[in-house]
Amino acid sequence: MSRSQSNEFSESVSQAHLDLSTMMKRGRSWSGRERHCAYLNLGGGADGAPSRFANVSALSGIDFADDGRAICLSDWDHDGDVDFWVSNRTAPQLRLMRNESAGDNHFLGIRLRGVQNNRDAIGARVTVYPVGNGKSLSKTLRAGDGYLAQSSKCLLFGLGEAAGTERVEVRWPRGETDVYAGLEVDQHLVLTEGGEVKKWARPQAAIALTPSDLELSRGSGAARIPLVTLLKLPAMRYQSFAGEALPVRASGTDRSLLINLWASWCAPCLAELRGFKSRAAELETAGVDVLALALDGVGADKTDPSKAAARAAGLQLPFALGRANEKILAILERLHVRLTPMELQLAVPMSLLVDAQGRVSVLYKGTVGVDQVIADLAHSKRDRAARLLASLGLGGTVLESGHPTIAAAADQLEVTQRFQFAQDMWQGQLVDDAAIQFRDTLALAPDFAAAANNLGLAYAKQGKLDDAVATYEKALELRDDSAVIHLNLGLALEQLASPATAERHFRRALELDSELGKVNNALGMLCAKRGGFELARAFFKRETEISPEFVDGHNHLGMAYLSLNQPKEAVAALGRAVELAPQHADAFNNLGIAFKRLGQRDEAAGAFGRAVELAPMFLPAHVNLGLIHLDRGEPEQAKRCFEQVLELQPNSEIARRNLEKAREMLEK
Amino acid sequence: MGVGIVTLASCGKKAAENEDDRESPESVKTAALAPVVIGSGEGEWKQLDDPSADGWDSEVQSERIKKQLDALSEAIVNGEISSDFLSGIVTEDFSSSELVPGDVVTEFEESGWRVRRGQASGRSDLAGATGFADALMLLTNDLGAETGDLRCKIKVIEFLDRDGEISTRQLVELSQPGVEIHAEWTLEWELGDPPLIRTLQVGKFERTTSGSQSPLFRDCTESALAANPSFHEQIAFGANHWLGRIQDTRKMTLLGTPGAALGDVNGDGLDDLYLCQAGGLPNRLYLQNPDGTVRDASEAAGVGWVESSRSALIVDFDNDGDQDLAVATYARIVLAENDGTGKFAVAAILDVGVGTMGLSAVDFDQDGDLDLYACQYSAGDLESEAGATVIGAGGSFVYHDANNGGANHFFKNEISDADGWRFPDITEACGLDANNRRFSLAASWEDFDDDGDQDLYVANDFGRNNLYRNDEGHFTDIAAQIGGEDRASGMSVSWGDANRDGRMDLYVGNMFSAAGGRIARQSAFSPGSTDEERDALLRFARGNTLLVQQDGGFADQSLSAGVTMGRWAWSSLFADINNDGWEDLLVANGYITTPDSGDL
Repeated sequence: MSRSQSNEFSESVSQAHLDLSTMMKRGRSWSGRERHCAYLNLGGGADGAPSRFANVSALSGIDFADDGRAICLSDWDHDGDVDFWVSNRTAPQLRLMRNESAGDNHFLGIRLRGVQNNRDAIGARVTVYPVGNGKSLSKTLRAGDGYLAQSSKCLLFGLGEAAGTERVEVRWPRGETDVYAGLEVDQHLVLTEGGEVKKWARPQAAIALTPSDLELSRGSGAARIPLVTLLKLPAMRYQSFAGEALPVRASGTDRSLLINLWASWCAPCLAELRGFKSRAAELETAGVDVLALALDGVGADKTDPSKAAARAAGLQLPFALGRANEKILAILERLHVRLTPMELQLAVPMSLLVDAQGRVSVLYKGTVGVDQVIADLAHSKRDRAARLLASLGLGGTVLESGHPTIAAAADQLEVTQRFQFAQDMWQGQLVDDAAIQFRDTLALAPDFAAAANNLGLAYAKQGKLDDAVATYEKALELRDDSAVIHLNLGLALEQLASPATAERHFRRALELDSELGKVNNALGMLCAKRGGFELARAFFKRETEISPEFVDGHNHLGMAYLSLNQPKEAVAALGRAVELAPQHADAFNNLGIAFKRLGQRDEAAGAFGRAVELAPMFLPAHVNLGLIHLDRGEPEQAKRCFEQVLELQPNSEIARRNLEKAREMLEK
Repeated sequence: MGVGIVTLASCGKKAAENEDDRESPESVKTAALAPVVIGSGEGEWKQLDDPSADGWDSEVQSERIKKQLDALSEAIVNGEISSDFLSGIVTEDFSSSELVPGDVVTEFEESGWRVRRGQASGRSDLAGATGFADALMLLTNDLGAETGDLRCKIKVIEFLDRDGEISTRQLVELSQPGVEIHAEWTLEWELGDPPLIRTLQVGKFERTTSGSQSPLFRDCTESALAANPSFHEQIAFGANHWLGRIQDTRKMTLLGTPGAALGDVNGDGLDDLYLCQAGGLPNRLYLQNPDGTVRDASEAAGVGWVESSRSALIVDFDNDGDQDLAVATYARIVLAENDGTGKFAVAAILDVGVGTMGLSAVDFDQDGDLDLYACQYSAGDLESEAGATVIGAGGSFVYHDANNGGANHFFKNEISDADGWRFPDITEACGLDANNRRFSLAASWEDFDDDGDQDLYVANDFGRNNLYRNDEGHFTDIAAQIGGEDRASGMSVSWGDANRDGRMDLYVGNMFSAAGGRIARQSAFSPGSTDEERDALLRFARGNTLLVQQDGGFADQSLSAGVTMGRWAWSSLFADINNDGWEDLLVANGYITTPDSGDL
């Protein structure tokens, strides 16, 4: 298989991997609970004969069902056999596995000291020649092997029944070889480059390692998560129990907001609310507004929402109350996903502390006490390094504080989180929030072309076309070779009535990526607007080839055909458009026109009728339908169409004129 | 995931006011809101993990078959084998070869260890549920000991559908203290609900005894670590606890990257342990006490860094007689100098992409100091890490090519009194930039061709591995020429002389996926894919690889040596566990274990 094919192949594997990671983020097992393996070498295998091994996974005692990762070998207790540490993804993150081999096999432990060589003697090859013409054994001292692991620098040689060595050869990394004759076994030695031999003895102390079955706490789902990256809380609205839609925000710009999610059936939630109530004055003084949002009856929860209202009334809670909704939950879920690696189900009780700048500062899964909330008001005032330290509170040192290059790396992680959250907002069609988040991303990473482009897009959608153009231009400064950015800029310029500049960017986009969708459509529209229908037709045609699913491509192609008086071709193109988008009133109207030109009045009536049905305010379709009715000698229906138009637009000349005609026909 | 509501705190208590309060939140536990504005709905979830939706009919059957086999192993473990029970597992006309082949011979016997092997030939006169019950009794009797800690696992690794005739191949593992049996069974099934076994044929059979009721290795973790608060607060919890709390959203964090290194950092002659942690969790340095237990010195040594870390090395970079430290943190490799007492100060920070995985040190140019090689997994640029999509009228357009892995880095040690800790990046200059855009996880150095300088093997996920031959400090990738590519999911590298012929061999950690083996053989898999592609995928799921060096190159002896089954393997190492002079193998494995019930 050629290299290029293998790339395609790995692409599909990589895609599969992405799907897997989605599942894993959601807490699914994959090749989990697997037991570690051990194989015993049965000897032989030289001179082309196959090596032989037996599966001793169970007998070895290493077969824990952990998600194991690094293995570091060492004769940890210096009893002459190899022990190891293994690190795990799962709990416990470390295990020390002690070899309790009861056999009588001899051993030799060798530590090396380089002099001219690197002092650790990494790369040295040691070969032991046991007495009795036994096979020699070779090992190399390495720094780093296995997976993310480094083993001991003491090389341990098992010698079987050999009770001594003929000689030991050390080939140092720079090439010289030292030979040590007649070294005694069952001990640890230090061999120094040049030939010196020293016995190594471990400190006098009884080994205090004993086997035991670890009992691990399962922990709970409750957690207080002070956030490292402070994201602006998107704009959300809740419904008060009185039915009023209100914004989720603090009562003043100098106040923090504690958003509490609860449900009437959740006992710990109610206890927590009572706790907030009993110390409401302290919260008030500390500058914290509480907003308790009930989840009763939200989404698939079938509790009668009035229960929450009744319960809240019974508790006489002295703070803002109301009902949460799906949108609030969805936003909080995305926030959680972007800030921690797991996509966890949201659960009640849950609270969020939002600081006076509207940034989410601390997440509480489970209940939180008032003292904790007040103490946490300080969290968002810390710098990022301090926030990272506070995020788990397990101590440690932040490199970021003293090392700008590390801080720059930390910026990247934050940028990633901000950008992804911004994209979430965009995908959720929360354009204003997407703009805020993209702007915050760009503030931290001014060279991030994708963020600049996407911010431009958000501006365009908000109707801030000048801002959009300026932002796209900035994005192009960062990445001039992006066809998409040229296209986006062109579209914004076109709306600003700068068709010439727009066209330049569209053409540049095509140069950069001749297969990019919607550029040909945009160019076609420009041509059509200035009457160049033949060229427009060619662009639209190309668009339908590149983006066969893009409805407007077909619709516009149909319109171009109509303009060039090719109704038959127009019917084909528009037929495809309505097939793709059965709700597309425009396309139905155009299709009606095409049928009409072909003289297929029944089909035309059907298409216009569908257009009117889909878009009752779409006046041209009403007019067209009326005209067809006139044509077919159906003045009663025609009259109704024109009357409807006049009702919506009393000064429509064409409707009035044709209404007259219809009336005349009726009188006849 | 839909947005679901569950309750967190223990909800034994009743809410006070109302009689009809729900006592426990069970009724809403599974409730999920309908797909909402943002995010992915329940539908996508089902699409992802419902085999029937994927069209893998075989996986549905396989799931039913698995249920039957699980019930069978459970009954074996509990000593509840009866013809009554088995009549729900096998057909009335069930027939089988002997479960313990008659011609088992002793292949190996040495200081207590004994390995016996055989292969059943033909049918026995075992028939029906009664016959199977008798055969299973003989099998468990063959384990020798009375019932005790009997374990049994039957895992389907192949699913064959020949015009509706379904057969499966499975690995059968049985063990009790002192003895374990590994067998391969081929079963023919009569499909139904439940499916029933029609015939059973035993392939390979291996029975090993150690001569001891006690396992070779014992878990001494608690006695070694329990005196340290960090053990109880941090190490005793795993990913399932921390992933919902830490804020290290790197792509690889989910997979778990707790790199570890041993070295004597305080000069007392005892190995100490450094452990890397995900962001927010402090890395830990545990010093060994004379009695073999450890004490947490992270704070005192100044190396309890909370920056997301993946791997570490403890070596003497500046040749001053103490052990320095290299740690691959998020996008930077931090080098810290030991002051001779086990306290560290940052001496250099090397700029790399965010995807750094394994580190390995070597004196590649024989100038007497240690140079540093770093594996990169993902490309490591901001946009690919962010999954940056330039959204536009033209649809979504992704800048990066997701298949471009990161470029591994090689840093030359140029520490000097004048310039301090300098480590210039010489990857390109020394030839190591060839074939250097793969998803590399691990690398290890060895003078495999015995010409006096150190060569490099790199294990890459999703494809070919590299073997860079060192010729006077310049490297050439010769993996393809000498049979060293091992085109699979390379996770780890270990060099060792497996057959004691004086030449170094390789054991490469890969992925052994029973599901992969099952699925790739199905015709439904990637319709239109070629046999070649299918073989390649099967190869991806084959498992670990043993490459034995012979004249002129490496021979793949993985299958004949029987060492592919390392499950989803990570560190896979040569280690002589019984001191007989022959390198045995240790494999740490397991991909993602979560508290959810099923396993994919």
